[in-house]
Amino acid sequence: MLRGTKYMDSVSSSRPLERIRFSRYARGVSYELDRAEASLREIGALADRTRRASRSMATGFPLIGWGAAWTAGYAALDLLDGVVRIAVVVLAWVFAMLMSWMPLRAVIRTGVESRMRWAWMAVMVASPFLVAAGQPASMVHLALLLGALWGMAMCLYAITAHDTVFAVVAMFGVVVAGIAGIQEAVPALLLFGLASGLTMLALGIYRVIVGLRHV
Amino acid sequence: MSDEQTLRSSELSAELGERLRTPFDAVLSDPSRLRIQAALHGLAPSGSIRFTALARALHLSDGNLSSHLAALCEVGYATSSSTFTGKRRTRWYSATAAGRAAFEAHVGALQLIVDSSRMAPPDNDERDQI
Repeated sequence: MLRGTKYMDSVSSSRPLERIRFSRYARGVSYELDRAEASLREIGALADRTRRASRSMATGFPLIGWGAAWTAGYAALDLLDGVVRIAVVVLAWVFAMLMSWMPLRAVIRTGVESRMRWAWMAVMVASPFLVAAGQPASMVHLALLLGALWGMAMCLYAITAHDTVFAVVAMFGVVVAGIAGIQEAVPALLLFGLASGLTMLALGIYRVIVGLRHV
Repeated sequence: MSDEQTLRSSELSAELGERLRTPFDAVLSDPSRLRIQAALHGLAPSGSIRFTALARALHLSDGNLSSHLAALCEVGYATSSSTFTGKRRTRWYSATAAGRAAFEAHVGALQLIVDSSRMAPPDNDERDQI
């Protein structure tokens, strides 16, 4: 604008010269506008970059942990027997818990990590009481009920965090638990573990890669 | 120009005039500070980022980033906290509510001016007057 003012002040009465000067003025204004637009785009991209990185670091490793745990754990419940089955389920759970602690070492914090741990503690403590209240008909339905409950907890967290993709993936797990419980074509726990677990695992891996790339 | 266009143009001019009565935020007029505030704005409301990560994301030197962050903290647009792992100190930075509001107002004013300039190019008569 300053450049334009300078040109306007120096406009002479000669029409051709005036047109040439206006052309320069217009180019100057256009150049400034382009720079302003580029600056606005960069600002938007920067805010988006930290937003994505923050989201990826808060959920990436936990999603990998729980996705792998559900895939291996629920598949083991259907395919294995005895001590091996218990060992795989316990190992899967321990792996998921360890991965859930990873965001504490991230370079970006959401500021709600402590409250999140308490919320998950509440979900875990509530689980046996909900099972007792619901009295599932079999061990398969009990496992599906717990999977759906934890999926619902993840979905509620994702909604409060404005994390649409995570909310959809978590809700998908709840829906799959319901479908697995009523169908008989495929082993229910295997279906639930693979469908919901692999979806979470894929999202987690994607987010970890994105998080590392952005910050 | 149709009535609708005239009405829209006058509404835009009124809004633009109102915005121009309030000058841009002096602190955020510096491009580096605006970029830093943008990066902090992308965090969750109670979120924070490590100094080293911020420097890496913005491609700023430690000294440069430190001086701009000090300016932002001084006016209350950003806040810092420290954590210790043994003797090792880690500095975390986050945007305050005032910083978020100032950033949104500043970017909004910039966007409005760019939009209005794009929407209303000078016509031939105006060119001749210039």
